[in-house]
Amino acid sequence: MKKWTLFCIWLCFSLASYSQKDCLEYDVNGVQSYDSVSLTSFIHYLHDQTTYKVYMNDSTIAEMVDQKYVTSLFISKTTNCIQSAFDFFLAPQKNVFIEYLDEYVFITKDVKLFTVRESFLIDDSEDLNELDSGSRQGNTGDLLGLMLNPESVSRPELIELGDRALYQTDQNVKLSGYVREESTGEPLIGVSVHSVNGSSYTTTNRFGYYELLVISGNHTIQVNYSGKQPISQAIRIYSSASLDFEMIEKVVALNEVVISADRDRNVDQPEMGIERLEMSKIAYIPKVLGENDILKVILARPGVKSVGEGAQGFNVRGGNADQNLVLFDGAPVYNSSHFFGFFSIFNADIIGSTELYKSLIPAQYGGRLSSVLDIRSRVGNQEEVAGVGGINPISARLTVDVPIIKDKLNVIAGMRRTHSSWILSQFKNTQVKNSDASFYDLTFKSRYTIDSDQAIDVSFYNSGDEFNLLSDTLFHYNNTLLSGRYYSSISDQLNLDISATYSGYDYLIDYTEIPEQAFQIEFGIKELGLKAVAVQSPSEVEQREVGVEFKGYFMQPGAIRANSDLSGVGDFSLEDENSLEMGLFVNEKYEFSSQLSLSAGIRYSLYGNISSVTSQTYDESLPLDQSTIQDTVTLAPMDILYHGLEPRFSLRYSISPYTSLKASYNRTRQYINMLSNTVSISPIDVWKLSDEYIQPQIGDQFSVGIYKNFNKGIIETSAEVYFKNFQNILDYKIGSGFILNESVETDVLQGKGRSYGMELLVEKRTGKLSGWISYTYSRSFIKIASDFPTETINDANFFPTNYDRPHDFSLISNYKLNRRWSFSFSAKYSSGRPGTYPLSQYKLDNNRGLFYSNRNEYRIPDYFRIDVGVNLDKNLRTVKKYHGSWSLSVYNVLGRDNAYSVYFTTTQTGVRAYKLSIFDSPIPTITYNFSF
Amino acid sequence: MKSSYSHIGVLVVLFSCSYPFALESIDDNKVLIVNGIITGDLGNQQIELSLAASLDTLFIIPSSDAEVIVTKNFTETYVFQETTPGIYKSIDPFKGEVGDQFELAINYPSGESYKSEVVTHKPTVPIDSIAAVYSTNNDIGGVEVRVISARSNEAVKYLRWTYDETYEIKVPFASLFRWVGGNKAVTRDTTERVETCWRTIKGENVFIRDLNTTAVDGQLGLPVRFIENDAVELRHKVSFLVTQYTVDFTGYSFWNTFDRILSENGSLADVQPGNPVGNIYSEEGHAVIGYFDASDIAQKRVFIKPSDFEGQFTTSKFDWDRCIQRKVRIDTLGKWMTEVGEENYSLYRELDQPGNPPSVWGYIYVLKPCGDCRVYGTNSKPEFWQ
Repeated sequence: MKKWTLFCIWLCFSLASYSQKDCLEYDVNGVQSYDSVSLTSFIHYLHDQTTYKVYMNDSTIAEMVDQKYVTSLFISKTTNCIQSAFDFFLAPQKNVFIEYLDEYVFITKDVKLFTVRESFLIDDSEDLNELDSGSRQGNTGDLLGLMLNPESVSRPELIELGDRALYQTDQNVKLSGYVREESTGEPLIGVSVHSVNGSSYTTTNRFGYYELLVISGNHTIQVNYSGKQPISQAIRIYSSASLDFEMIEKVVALNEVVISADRDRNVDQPEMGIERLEMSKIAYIPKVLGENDILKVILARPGVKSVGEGAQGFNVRGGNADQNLVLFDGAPVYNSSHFFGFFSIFNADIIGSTELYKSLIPAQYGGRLSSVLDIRSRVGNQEEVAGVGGINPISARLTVDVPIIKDKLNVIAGMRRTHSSWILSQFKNTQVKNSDASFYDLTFKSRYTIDSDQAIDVSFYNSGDEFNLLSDTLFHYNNTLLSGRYYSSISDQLNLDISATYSGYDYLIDYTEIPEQAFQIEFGIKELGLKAVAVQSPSEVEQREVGVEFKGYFMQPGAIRANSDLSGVGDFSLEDENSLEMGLFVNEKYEFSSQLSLSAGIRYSLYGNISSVTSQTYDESLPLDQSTIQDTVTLAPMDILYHGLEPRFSLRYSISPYTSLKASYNRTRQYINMLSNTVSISPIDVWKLSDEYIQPQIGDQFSVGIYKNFNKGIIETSAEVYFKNFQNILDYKIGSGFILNESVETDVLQGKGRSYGMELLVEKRTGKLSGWISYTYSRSFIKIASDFPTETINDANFFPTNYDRPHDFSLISNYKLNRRWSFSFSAKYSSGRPGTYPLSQYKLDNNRGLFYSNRNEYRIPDYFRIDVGVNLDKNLRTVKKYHGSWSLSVYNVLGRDNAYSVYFTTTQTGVRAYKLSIFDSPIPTITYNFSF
Repeated sequence: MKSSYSHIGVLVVLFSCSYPFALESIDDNKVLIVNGIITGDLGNQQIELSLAASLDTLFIIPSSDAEVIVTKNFTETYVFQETTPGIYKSIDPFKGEVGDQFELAINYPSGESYKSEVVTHKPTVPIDSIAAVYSTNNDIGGVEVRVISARSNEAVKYLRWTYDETYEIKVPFASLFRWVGGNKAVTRDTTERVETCWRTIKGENVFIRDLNTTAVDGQLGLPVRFIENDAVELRHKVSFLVTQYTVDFTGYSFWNTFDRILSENGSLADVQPGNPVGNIYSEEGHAVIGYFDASDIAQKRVFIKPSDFEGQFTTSKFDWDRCIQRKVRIDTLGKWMTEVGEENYSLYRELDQPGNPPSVWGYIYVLKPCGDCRVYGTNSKPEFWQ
């Protein structure tokens, strides 16, 4: 094990000295004495009483000196006394060293620690490796084993590079090479490589390759990357030469989120409203039904909500669920949920990076108003076959990495599937008990590295869900994604990224109970995409992105057919819709100074139909209605045409290294809409392309934020406020329904939207206790006005949208008791979502009608849930190939019957209201996870 | 199409648990319901006013004490008078003619006032026929009643229908005697005959068609009612009176939306809930739902007997098993009747005691539903009954 690990004892302090007279004299308050004190108990005492931290690289240190007792220890608050105490314990130990830095105490065995600019550097990496493996075998049980995470691994050995014969002073030479992940050989992209004294800077390209121009002579090269231990390497370079780096995970064994190199990124980056999530962050959040889930984590971040438990899709900053562009390896995902939203469709073992853009959406993305969730699969292990998987009472998963040609071609293949309907068997209702629900998903990813400048990625995803309910209606839905991507580094300054994607989503409803009525309803959409992006970095402070994107939408909006010979259901099919969306974009990032940076971009989008469309003309003096159709006409390709500019800006001003202010503006356009009057994306929702009547949605967002990090970046805080204006957002006429609707435009209403809010976040990413607290206040309103009363809602006033939930609070926390045990706790509160309730009933022409409130006038009850989890790592020796862990989680530990919705049934005696609760009792799950 | 995929509605409910949920009190929420049409037939025109009731009761709350005035062509006013609670009839008979403009005003002593938009009297088209066809629905056989109207007038774009259904009921042990108190019963006279009754019910559902998109002049016409073949309505004879009105787009839109929201809530295939927009408004912003209209009407009556469908199905029979005949002695008749309640039993026939002259020993009695058809309807034969 190469990692340098130190056992840290975390102490709180008001201490100390032992029998020295000085210390006794200095002490005025709180004098305490101990009859007999060992080093271990002394450290425990510090831990209990002070803010001091004591780090040890080997538990045997304590054992060596624990035979030594002081008979009388007097405690003082002075550092002198603490040092005296340690001197007493450690003085005779020749190979033990002690260093003090503020309130940090470092005790090391066999190796000396020294400090450079608040970084702890170790002078002999070889020794450290030995130390590490030794230390891992030590018993840490009685030491509060928090691992010291060194902020940088130095390689103080000077490496001489290049041909000494070619050496000339002050000559420009090129240092180049690869930066890879140490254990897998996976190239690391975007790693910063810079010369500390030469102030030159670069980042690795898609292949982990870097080139750095330096002046010949001595340099210290710093290599930094999120989640990896930074490297500091002294070199003497005579001529152009190459040097590869291998970076190691930070404190992998602890499975903590430690992102020291990423510290202050929230403050530094010019863009705002970006959530970057690492899978390690997911690992400690309580699991739902035994699965890690990227979407559940996203839902705990500020500004992201769902309409309810088990609801599919999510709402970002007061936007509808269809306003999120969810990409998996670049291919759009139309239904991101399995099992009606209980699981996301993404296999957590394959996800590499996840970015959610909720404020500034970079100009290269378009087509959705509110956010972009860009999920990328990881690159496979380049070195050896590896696997990861897990099994629980509901599902099992396995992912295998296979390097086919070392450093050239590798593949990852993963699958998940349910193997029981355990969850359904938990229901008391026998009908549900006898129902069935299952899903599977397959993910495949391969990278072929052509050379140091070029590579091709191919990614494939397929999933299927099936529900068999009451044994008479079958629901199936499928997602299929395919993407191919070619990267090329044309030069130091220019990279090219070309991708082609396919996305298919379809569902089928099969009803067979009564043969005479047996039918099948189908819906399907296919999207083909082609995108080319050139990234130019003319200088260290400037980056330019230029590109073009084409999206082809091919939709079958609905068809019904008889699926039995006896069935009297007539075949019927809605006309296919095919359209093209094109985007041209350019984005420029510029750093004016270390204080001020700007990102400015613009996207031009154009949309039109590419096949003939049958369209109706309506009597203009009347509302759009099937009965006011005057004529049916055929529109030729591109007769429906929309286009417009979408400017995007973001500005950052740093007040201090730990504090910055940011502001952004964003315009986005959306040409595809999800039609739903049930409030969340469900498998029978229908998508509709913009047409002659349904105008594209347009969104404008203004946001400002302040970002401040405390305690050297360990605690991140942020506050953002935003205001959004929407045009042409959709709502629906009273009585509208969308399945097999031939003239959707007669049921859809479009109006203005307005949302605003504030998001607060406090996050601690490192340490024994980590996690975050977020609070979001957000409102979302819509106004539907028209000259016709039937096309007006709530008297043309703004009213809350279906997903307006003003208050939202999330707490996610993880407590690492030791390297074996960790505990997680999370809590979620949010306001209930609005609903339209019946208030009374009446009879009109012998028909019982319900008198409804204004639209969304009422709210369902507030939501509150607590989850807990515990994780047990079976073995901690990372040298061992097979690694196993158990995780037990309890979802909704309070068993609250949170309302998903309130619905009504009409009976002979009146109307009854019911609260629908998805999980009304605690759901425990135990999962065994493994990797090899 | 609607019925074919209505089965998918239960989905959400299945994955979850439902708990009764108390809604907030809406006691102060007064909603006026208005239904009225001025017809082209000379007579006392009628307007119905009621109030919406709370969700846990099914009473119709008549809205009384209103001042109801209809203005014709902005000049002639007709005052309506409440004849039965919530039913207002014009004091003077009048009628509408095509092109006449009517306006409804409703005022309450409390000061609330409501007005309708001006409606224009519309012509209608004749009902061609009402067909009764044997068919199956969900595997069950029965008689489907269809209205067939020709579109003979281009001005008539939208039609609405309502129907009244009257059927004959016969009881197997028709009571011949009526208890008059004490130990005495008398023979029922002819006006008191309780063997055959008739029950009239107003049809449910909203029947509205846009004649441009849905023809009702073909053989299929517009199905308005399906009677299962073992239903009591088909046992003897049933009559339908179909009334047809013409509506304009606003009326069509109102009734069509009302029809669409009648489906149950709580399913994935739900329609967007809300209130249909009618043509009555409150000047003070009070809630009101309803429609006031003026149109000629066309009516047609049809009689349907099982014998019309000879061999196609068999009708159900009266459930005799529960009609047990028991005896009561005349000297205990009064006591017995008081104990069991006259409303529960009826005296089927007299039992004589042998003698000269024979005297009355007592009576055979049966459960009232076996012996008195008035449990089901009225025993006064409707005028139209053939």
